[in-house]
Amino acid sequence: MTATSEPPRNAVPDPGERGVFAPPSSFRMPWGQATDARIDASTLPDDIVLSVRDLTVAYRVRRGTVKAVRRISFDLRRGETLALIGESGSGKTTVALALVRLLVRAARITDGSVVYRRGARAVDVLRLGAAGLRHYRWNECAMVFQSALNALNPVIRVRDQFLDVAKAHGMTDRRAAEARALELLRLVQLDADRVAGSYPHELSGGMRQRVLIAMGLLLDPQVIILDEPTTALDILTQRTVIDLLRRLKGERQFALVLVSHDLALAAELADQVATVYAGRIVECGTVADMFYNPHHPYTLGLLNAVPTLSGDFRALDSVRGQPPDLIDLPPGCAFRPRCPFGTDECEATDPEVATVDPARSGVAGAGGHVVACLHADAVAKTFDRHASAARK
Amino acid sequence: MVAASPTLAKPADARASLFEGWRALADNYVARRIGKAVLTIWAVATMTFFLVRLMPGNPVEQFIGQLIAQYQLPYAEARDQAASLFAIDLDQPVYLQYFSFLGKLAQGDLGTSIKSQGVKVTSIIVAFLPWTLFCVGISLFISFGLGIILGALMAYWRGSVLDYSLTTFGSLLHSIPNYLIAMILIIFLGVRWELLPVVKMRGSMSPGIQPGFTLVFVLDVLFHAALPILTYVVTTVGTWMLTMKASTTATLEEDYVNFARAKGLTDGRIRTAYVGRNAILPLFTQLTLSIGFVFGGSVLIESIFVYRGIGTILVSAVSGRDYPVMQGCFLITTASVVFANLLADLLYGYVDPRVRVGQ
Amino acid sequence: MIQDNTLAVRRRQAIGLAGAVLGAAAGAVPATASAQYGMAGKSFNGAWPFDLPPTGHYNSYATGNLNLGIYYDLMEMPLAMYYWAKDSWMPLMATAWETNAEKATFQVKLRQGAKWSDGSSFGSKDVVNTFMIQKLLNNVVWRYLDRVETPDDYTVNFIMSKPTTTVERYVLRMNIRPSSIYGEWANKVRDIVNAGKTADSDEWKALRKDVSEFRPKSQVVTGPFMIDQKNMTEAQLSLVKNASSWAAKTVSFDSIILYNGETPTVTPIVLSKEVDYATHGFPPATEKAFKDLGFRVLRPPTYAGPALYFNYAKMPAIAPKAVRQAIAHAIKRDIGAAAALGESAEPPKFMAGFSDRLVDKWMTPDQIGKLNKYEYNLAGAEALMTGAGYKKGSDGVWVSPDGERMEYEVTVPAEYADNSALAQAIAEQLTAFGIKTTVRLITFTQLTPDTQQGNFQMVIQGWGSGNPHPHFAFVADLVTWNTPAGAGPGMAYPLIQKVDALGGEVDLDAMVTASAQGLDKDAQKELISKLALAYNELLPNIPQYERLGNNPAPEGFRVKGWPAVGDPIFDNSPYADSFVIMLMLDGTLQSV
Repeated sequence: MTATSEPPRNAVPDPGERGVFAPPSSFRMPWGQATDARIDASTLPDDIVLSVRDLTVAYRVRRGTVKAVRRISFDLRRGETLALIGESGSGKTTVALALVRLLVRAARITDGSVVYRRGARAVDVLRLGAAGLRHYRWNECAMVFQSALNALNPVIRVRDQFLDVAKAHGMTDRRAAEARALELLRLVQLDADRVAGSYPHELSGGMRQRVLIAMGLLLDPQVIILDEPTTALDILTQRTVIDLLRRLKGERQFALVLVSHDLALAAELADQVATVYAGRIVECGTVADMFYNPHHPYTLGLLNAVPTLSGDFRALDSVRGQPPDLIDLPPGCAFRPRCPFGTDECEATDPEVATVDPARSGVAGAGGHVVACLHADAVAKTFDRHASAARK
Repeated sequence: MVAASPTLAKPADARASLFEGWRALADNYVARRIGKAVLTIWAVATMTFFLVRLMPGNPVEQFIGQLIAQYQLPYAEARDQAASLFAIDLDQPVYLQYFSFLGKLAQGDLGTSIKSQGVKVTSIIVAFLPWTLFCVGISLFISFGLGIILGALMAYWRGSVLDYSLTTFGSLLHSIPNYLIAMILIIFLGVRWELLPVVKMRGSMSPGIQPGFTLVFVLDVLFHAALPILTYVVTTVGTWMLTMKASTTATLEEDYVNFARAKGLTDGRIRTAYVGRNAILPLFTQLTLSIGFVFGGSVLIESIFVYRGIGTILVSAVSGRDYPVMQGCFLITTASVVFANLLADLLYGYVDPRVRVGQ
Repeated sequence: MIQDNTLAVRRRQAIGLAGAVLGAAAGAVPATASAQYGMAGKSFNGAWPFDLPPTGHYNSYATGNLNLGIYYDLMEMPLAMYYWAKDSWMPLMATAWETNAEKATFQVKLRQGAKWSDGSSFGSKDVVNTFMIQKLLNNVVWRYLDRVETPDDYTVNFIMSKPTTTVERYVLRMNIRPSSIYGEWANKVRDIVNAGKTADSDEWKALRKDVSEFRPKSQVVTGPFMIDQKNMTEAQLSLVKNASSWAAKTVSFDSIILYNGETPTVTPIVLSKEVDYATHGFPPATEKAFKDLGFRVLRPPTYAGPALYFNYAKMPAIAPKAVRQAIAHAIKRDIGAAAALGESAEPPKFMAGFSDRLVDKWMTPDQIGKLNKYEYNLAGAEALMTGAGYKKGSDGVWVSPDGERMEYEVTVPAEYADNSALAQAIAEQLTAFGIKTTVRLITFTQLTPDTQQGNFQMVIQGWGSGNPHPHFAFVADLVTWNTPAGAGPGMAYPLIQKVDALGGEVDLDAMVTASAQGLDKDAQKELISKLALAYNELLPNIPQYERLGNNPAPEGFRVKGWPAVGDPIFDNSPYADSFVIMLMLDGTLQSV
């Protein structure tokens, strides 16, 4: 499976080129110790904060090796939102966890690189030492988990959980940290004093989700990863959280990686949307690309699976069948068994990601539109027909 | 709410307010818990009273059998001796005995021993219980502490040699009865390999030692308690270890632990406040329950090490069918378990805010 | 290899270290302790279970007291102790005694010049007071006594209401208590006796209760030892020398240390060579360990043992004596004895109803010759059964002429390993013979009530008695677990029986009662012989073996001078007249 036509990309450039590093004035970055984590940031465009290349994650279970993430590459631009959309089991959460290196014990990142950059400095997250990693987590990249209901320690008050984070990252002034926590709680529209003094079980699901978001903002990270931020919430609370996120994004200018199965959420919050299938990004483009010019049958299927924004329902010929077994993938394109466009050719080759519009970036996420399908053009045409038919 | 329906006359109102008062009391968590504890003790006292009397053989018959077996006395002679030595009326109707027992119990009087007549059961318990409490208390403390530390280590190093060996060791020790361990300790460490002076270690202190807060006394008491404590710890630490391992393993999978890592908290803080504290919660209830088991286990261990304690007198009371002493021992054991449970219930709220009183 | 070695070494070091830590504590602590304690003297180490105060106490009239079994005779000494083999006495607080048949009086002359440990002198008042309190307590001797008189300070006359030779033993074996402690209680007894109160009066019962609740602060003794009250622990206590005792000089030991505990807790101490003599019943495996250590194991006879009892109310098929004789022939008694106690079980040869050791003292050779020895003989057993009209069914189980299929249970307490092994052996052999037998295990506390109430088909119960007079053995064999005496129907064996050897019908109950009455020993012998012949023919129960002690008595650690094997002193019953105590008192046993 991972036998690729392309040789693995060397994510670690020659350690000799380290002149580009100049510590930013306002940040204490303990990455000095992690010498082998230093990479050349100059090859990256200035506005990229996170650059993922060929990220591959596998984990061993009794039955064999689960190929959870297969050579995923994308870039995240400063202040932008990238949504990773897929069914459950598609590997999108694994990608998110790999970005902060919080995979389960059995899982291994077998290949690839995750380069994080702030200013002129850049590191390969996958090579960070313990201290560097601890700094990277939350200071630079905050990941808020899927299950907001269980993400808070049940026996510690919310205030103390904020203080825990502050202390762990060197904010020694307890009073200042507490003041900031209260401010953030207010920012997410909570009754700050009451919530701070509460235990998690005393808060509703939406409140807890907002506490987590506030906590994510505590150290002003450049990147926030939100895994299914609205899934466990009722419709009204979902709305509140979505509005809140949109507002915060505007105010705080953090880059957001949004992991969801909900295309509608992506449409509301994301700049770029990537559809993930069987551990791969099968298509990625701007919201407009994905909603109005999809090139992958899976994207198409997901679009058909949801009501349109305008409210009228399309013929729901959503994606038939079940996601593939990640241990025993079908030959060629993993989507082939469920694909209405599939041909024999699809069984022979697993298509590489290719750009749809050669004028734009060839990498997922950074404004490009890429797709991995042999019949991408046919898909796009079908959608056009379908869409115009629906408009009539 | 209990507002009486308006059609009811005044006496009903009075009844309603009484009822309301009762409801208020019943709604009070602490009062409810204490009431339940008292009820439990009464139920156990009643049950032991009757069960003890249902046991085959009464004290007189027991003594007769003993005289016949040991001194080969003729039955008539043994019966005469026994009957005159036991100046008690066992023929009194059981329900009368029961009410007099309850009445005395309410005043804290557990009656007098049959075997050693005139000796108050309370004075026997006062003389013996502190030793059991001391021994059991220290054992439980060590066993629990050691168990949770080892259990947590096993959970962190799942699949390591340490994990496998401790798991095997723990389940092995868990399945060996404590008196066997006690015997093994005596036979091997004491008699075979002569590593320990087991003969000197018998008992709860050496002859000639004067009780008091002196170093000599404390050392001597610890020296004598070492083997019983070792036995308790060895036989119970496995359970704590395995429970703690299971609990920690489960906690490690909790989102808040992973989330704590995502937040970049230090490992020390995660281990203590996030994993440890939550993993111990289920063990807390078990700890109070185990006090009863340890009391139960003290019976055999104390007998084997000839350690002064409630277990020793219980054994001799049972073999002599000394009803009041048996009742006293059972009751005090029950009371300590009930009390421990009550304390645990009241304290649990402080450990786990989710069940905090007044919710 | 190298790694293994170092590991082993390390392990040993670790164990050694643990041992050293505890050992150091041990060394540090008891060093000071024993300094205060003065254990430097020459001690004799024994073992006996006891209860510490407040349960244990010094009122030797009340249950739960610290009399310490056989060692009691070293403290509140009896008038005399008995040599079983020689049928003679070792005078202790008495020096001479005689029975006056005409006056029905047993007169005892007391030791002069003996003192109690509190300084008061010993005399007849102590003896009479002791017997007064025993009267209050319904001691069996008062069934035969009318009154006790003290003509002078050193003479006591026991005037019998029902003259019997057994009074001699009852009186002489009585431990005499000090009047300085119990005198006022004796006076109170005298008062109520003089007031004409009887044992069932309320005053009597109240006084009895008061006496049993009396707790003297300390022990006052005539013997060479007394309890060291200050240094008692639940693990051990010591008896210290009472130098003022008349017997102190001949005893070689300065103290006696008694380890507390029953067999399991005492075993390791014996194995650690810390005990010079123990009477606990040790299982054969432990006994072997003793022998491996070179310990001598003494086997004193207890004059009693287990027998197979039948419930005649529940087993009609067992009623003909031929059936029981057949059963006696069908059981190889050696098998059960060996399974139960190994060398400490001695199957009886004479089947006389009392110990083989006493048979020639009570029966003439001619009479002994008439005793059927019931040797193992299956063919003979079958013949007896067939002769009585019993037939074997197709399944090989005997059926009585009345059609009762002989399938029974034998009840035995699970806790008594020796008796359960015996029951197992009996069940196997009886089943093989055609009486299908299963073992029914009960808990030991159930044994006495079940036997009394006849809740059994067959049961293992005692035969014989620890009293040198065979009368007591026949009481155990015929009366204790039978209708007239017990609290229930028991084995329900009719005691009026036709006995061929005695030429007709006899009343066994009357014979047993009469066998101890009167002061004419020859008449008693005649009755005992008849009882033996009747028992031997009828076999109301079948004795399986006589239990011998298996008392470890290692020599050389602290004690020397044990008599050789076969010395007549070892015929003493180990509980009734402990030879250890007697050997200590006569100076035979010496400290090393």
